[in-house]
Amino acid sequence: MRNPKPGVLRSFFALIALLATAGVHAQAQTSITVQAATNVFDQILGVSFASGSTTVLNSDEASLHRLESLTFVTNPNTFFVDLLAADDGGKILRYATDFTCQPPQSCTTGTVVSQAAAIGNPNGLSADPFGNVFAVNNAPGISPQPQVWALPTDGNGGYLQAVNIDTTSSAGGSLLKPQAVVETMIVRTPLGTLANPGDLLVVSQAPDEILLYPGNGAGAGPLSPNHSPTVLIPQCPAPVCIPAGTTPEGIAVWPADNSLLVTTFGGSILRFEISGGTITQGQPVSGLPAGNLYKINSALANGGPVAYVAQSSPGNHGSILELTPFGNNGIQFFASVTAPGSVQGIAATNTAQAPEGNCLAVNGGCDLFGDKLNKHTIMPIPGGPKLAASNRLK
Amino acid sequence: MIIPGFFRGGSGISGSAFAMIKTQTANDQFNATYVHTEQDPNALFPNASNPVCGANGGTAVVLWGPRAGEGLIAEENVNIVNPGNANPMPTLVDAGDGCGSNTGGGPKMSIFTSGLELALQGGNTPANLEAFVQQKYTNLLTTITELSGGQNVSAAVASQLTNNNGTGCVDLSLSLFNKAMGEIPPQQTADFQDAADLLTNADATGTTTCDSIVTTNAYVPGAFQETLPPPPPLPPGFTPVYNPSGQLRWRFANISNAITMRLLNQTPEIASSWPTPLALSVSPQYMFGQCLAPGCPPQQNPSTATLSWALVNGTSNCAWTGTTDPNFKPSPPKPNPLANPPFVKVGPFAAPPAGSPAATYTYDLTCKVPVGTMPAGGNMMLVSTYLTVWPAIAVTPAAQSVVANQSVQVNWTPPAGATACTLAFSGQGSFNSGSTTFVPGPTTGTQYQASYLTSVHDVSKGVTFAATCTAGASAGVASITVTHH
Repeated sequence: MRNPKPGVLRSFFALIALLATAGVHAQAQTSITVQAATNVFDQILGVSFASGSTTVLNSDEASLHRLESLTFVTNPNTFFVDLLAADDGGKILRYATDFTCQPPQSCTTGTVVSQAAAIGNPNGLSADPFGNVFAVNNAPGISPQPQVWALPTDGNGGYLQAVNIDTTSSAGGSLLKPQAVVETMIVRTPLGTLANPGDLLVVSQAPDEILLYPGNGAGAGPLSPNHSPTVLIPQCPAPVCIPAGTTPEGIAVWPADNSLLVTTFGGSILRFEISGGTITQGQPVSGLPAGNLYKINSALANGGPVAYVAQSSPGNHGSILELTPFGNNGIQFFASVTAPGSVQGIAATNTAQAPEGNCLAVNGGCDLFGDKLNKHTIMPIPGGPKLAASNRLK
Repeated sequence: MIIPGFFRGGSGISGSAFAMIKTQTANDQFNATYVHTEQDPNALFPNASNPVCGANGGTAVVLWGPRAGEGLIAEENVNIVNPGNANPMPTLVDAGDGCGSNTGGGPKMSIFTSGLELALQGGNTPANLEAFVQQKYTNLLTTITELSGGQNVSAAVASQLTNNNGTGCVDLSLSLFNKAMGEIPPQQTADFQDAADLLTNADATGTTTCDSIVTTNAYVPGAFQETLPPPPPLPPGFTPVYNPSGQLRWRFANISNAITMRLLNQTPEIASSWPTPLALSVSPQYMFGQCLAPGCPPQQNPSTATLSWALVNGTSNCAWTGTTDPNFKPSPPKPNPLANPPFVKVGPFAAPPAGSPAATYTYDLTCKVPVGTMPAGGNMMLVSTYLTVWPAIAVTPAAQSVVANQSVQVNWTPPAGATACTLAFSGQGSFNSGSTTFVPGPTTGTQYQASYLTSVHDVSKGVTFAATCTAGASAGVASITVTHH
C-alpha cells in the first residue's frame, strides 16, 4: 500500500548525527539503542548501561542455533527500524519494528529472510544507507567456507535473492580455503582517501586482515561479484598491520576521528588512524577486562562517541563493554553490563522511532530524543479529514 | 548535502559543532499540514555557548531540507534539470519560524540541523539581513510559480498570491518590503511590519493575507494537489510534490519571522508558531487622504481600509492598545476583538498637510493567548499593524492674485515615490509652458513648475490648481484670484 487512506499517519523514525570538530563529540547527549546477541542461549538482549542490566527481547531462542550477529535496518515500507539477526546455524531473521510493535501485535519472534537461504552459515551482518544488507558465510570448524554476500533491498522493505560477492578460490573467488571471514562493515564516511562511503570492509582470519570491496561510488555497498578485493590492512609483517594469530573478530569506526577499531579474539582492540592515503597504528584501547572480544559497534551517546563490544569468557559467560573517549583522543574501557551468557553479536543505533500520530498537535507533538532536541508538531489545516492519532502498520 | 556558506557550526565547546537529524517517514501523509519543529541546541551541546535564537543579534538557525526523492525546493535549481530529479544533494535552507528554544517550519520532517548559526558574508548587518530576507521572497515566488506550473496549486489560488498586476498578497508584501528597504524608521518599521502581517492569517475573508488564502482554499477541490509517485521504477524525470500548501506556508512563516525577529528585533514570541496565536493586518496599507479645501478633486480610492485579525481558540482579554487612529475611539467604538466579525473599516483620514511626511497610524492589539501557544512561556501577546496616509502634494502658486491674461507660475511637488501625477486647473486659461498637465511621478521629491496663462473669464471665479497622483500622494490644491487691469 503505497498511498495511505487520507488522514492516516504511519510510523517514522529519526536518526541524529553530530558533525564538525572532534570537540563536539565530547558533549553530545543523544539517545541510543544497544542490543546484543548471545550465541549459546540465542537471546537478543536489550542493554541498559544506565541500569547495568539486560532484558531478553526475543521469545524464539529455542528455534535458533548460534545467534552471532545483529544489525539494524530501516524499513522503507513500514518506516520502522527492524533488527536483522544472523543465526550462524543457517538463517537470517528479521525482527520487525525491533520489538516495538504496539499491542495486541506481537513481535518477539523473527521471520526468516528466505532470500538469504543460500547463505549456509550467515554471520557478520551490516547494512548500507539504502537498506542493502551484507553478510559473510562462516561455517564452524577448520573449513570455514568463506563467502561474502549481499542481500539487496527490493526498495519496499523486502529483499532480492542474495548475491555472492566473493567466495573461495576453488569456486572462482579470491578467498583461501582455510580463510575465515567473520564480519562486515559498510563505510559511511570517507576513511581518508583509502575507503569511500559504500565500500564494504570484511574482517578476515588466517590471514588476519581487513579486505575492501568497493561500493557503487554513491554510498551503496557492492551488489555484484568482485573477486579482487584490496587489502586495506594486511597481516603482519607490514609497516602497519594486524599481528598474525591475533584473530580479528570485529570492526567499527570511532566517530571522533574516523579511526578503525578492530577487536581480536585475544581481547585487545587495535586502532588504525587514517589520514589521506596513509594508515598509522594508533594507541590500543586501554583498560579492557580480560575476555575474548567479538563484534564491535559504535555510535553517539551520553558523553559523546561511544563503542560497544561483545565479550565472552569460557563457561558461557559474557558481557557488553562500553568504550568512551579518554584524554587527548584516547579511548578507554568505561563500563560493562553482564549478560546471561556468551555474547558475540552487538548492534547500536542512534535511531529513535515512534508512531507518526504522536506528532499531531492534539497529542502534544513528538520529542523522540527528549529535551526538545528536535521536537515535531504536525498541525493540520482545520477542516480536512481527521488525522489518525495512532500508528498504522502495514 | 549542501549547507549554504552563510551558515556555520556554532555550538559545543569548539564553537563550530552542529548536528544533522534525519527523519524518515512516509512522505504522503503530510498533505495540508504544517510541521512545526522545536530544537534546543543545549540538549545536544550542554555547557557550551551555543547560538541563541531571538532578536537583537540572535544567530541560531534551524535548517531544513528534503531527503533524496522527496521532491524539489526552489533553492535546488541545479537539480531540477537532473534526470530523475533524485536531488542527490539536498540543499538545506533556513526554516526558522520563531523561538522558544529554536523553531522552524516545513512541509515534511526530512532533514534538520541543530546548532548552526547565521553568518552572512560581511556580517549580519541590517543591509545584509534585508538582502537575506529579500532572497527568501524570490524563493517563495519561485515556489509558487513551480507549484502552479505543475498544477499542484491551482491558477485561481496562485493568482491570489502573485500575479502580473502585482496585486497578489505576496506581491504586496514584497512591494512593502522593498519600499521599507529604502526607508528609515518609523516608516520603515511600519512597512516591514505590514509586509510581515500580509503573510499571516489575519484575514476573515481569506482573500487578503497569504496564509488565509492558502488555508481557506486548502480543501477546495483542485486547489492543492500532491503529485505522488507511481509504483517503482519511477519514470525518468519524475518529481514528486508533497504537501503543496505546506510548502507555501512554511515560507510565509519563515519570511514573517525573519522580518519581525531579525529586522524589527521583536521578541520572538511574536512568531513562535504558525500561524501566530494572534495576527493583525490592515488592507490596504496605504491610502489617499481626504482633500478638504475648496476645489478638491473627487476623493480617490482607497480612502478607507479594513483592519482584520485572527485569534487562536481560547484567546481572551483582548484590548486595543497604543492605537494612534484618533477616529478609532470612541466613535465609532472600537470593536470587540473577541466578537464577530473580526474586522472593521477604518478611515477616511485627512491628508497630512502639504510638505509633511506621511501620516502613519498604529493599531496595537493585545490579547491573552492560551498557555503553550507561546513557547517562551508568556501568554500576553501584542501585535501591531500600520496604516499610512500618503502625504499631500504641495501646490504653490508664485502669486495669490494675478492680472487677467498674464501668467503665473505654479510650483508643485509630489512626494517621493508618487506615481503618475497630474496638475489640473479649474479656470478658462491654459498652461503655456513648463511641466503642465501630466508629469510622470518623481522618484524623489521633485519640484515641478508650470506656467498658467490666465483668462478674463477667470476673474469672477478664480482658478484652483489641483494635483493628483495615481498612487503615493494625496491630492493637493491651491487657488488664486484673477483680477482685471
